[in-house]
Amino acid sequence: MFEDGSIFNQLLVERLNYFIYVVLLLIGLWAMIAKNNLIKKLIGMSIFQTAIILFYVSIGVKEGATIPIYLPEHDPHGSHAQLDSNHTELLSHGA
Amino acid sequence: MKKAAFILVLCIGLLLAWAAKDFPSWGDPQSPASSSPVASHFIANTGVDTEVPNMVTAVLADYRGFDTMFETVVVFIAGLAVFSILRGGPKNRTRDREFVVDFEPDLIVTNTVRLIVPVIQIFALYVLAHGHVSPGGGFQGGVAMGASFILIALSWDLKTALARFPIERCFTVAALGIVIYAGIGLLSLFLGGEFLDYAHLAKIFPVSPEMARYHAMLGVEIGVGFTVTAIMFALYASLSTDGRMRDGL
Repeated sequence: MFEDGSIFNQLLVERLNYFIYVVLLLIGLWAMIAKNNLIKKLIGMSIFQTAIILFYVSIGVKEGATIPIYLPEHDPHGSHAQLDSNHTELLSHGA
Repeated sequence: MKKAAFILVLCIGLLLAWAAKDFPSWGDPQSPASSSPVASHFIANTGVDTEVPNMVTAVLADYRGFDTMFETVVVFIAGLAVFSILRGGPKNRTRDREFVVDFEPDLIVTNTVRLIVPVIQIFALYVLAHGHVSPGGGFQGGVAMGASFILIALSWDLKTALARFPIERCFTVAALGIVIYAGIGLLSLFLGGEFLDYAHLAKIFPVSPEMARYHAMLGVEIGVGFTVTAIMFALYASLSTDGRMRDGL
């Protein structure tokens, strides 16, 4: 059942994050459609949003990456850049 | 109804699970989101075009400034719609329920809130003003600021909060935020650039074009913060009183 290439292996082992995202999304969608209580609908919407965030993280995550904010020493013309001897080298790296 | 919803949800789930096999695997450096030319353009040019270290803010407030401006307008229209729908209907639409709840604001709760509201507001201003250097920005700071007013309304009553931030002033401040945003855009238009092309502001301010973008981004974030703060509180005040603006929760 879990041999290479089977649909279960693809969905539950290699792409478990996408499986969790689908399940969370369905729980949220179900709560928004089927529940009459407005607070429960809101909770469903919150679960739905969590699923979307997991999806965004899943397609964009990279090993060893960092947040998209320049460190001061990598900022091409940041005012806090340290003007040491290898500054020009860092500049060519950053830009 | 529930059965139809269940079948619908199940169909959508099968479609999504079927589509999942085309998505990149976890941590794939060649995934479309990482290798798209747009993403690499932003990463390479944010530090060249602007002085802003936070690329997310540069994309939000500069490269895609037009989008963010209308997001702010959407927030404003949402608040206005909730207010006018609840205020506008027939007068006897809701039974004028009399909550004769005779209560004093709790001593411990009000004193705690008295202590933490200034801290919340300082933090909101920090998140707003520091949004282009660290994570944050107008939307986040505005939400935190609006939450401080909601906290006042929850711990005392709505009247106390409305005395500090009347509902008319809410919509004035919200409109002012959009005027600030669009005004910065129009100013750069009149200075010879395109709408929201902040680099042209360097012609009237003694800064470099890159630094002009930095300061203009702060300006539009402040506009967004004004709108979000006011609309957060206006939404709470409208919804908690059925639009009657008295005797809230």
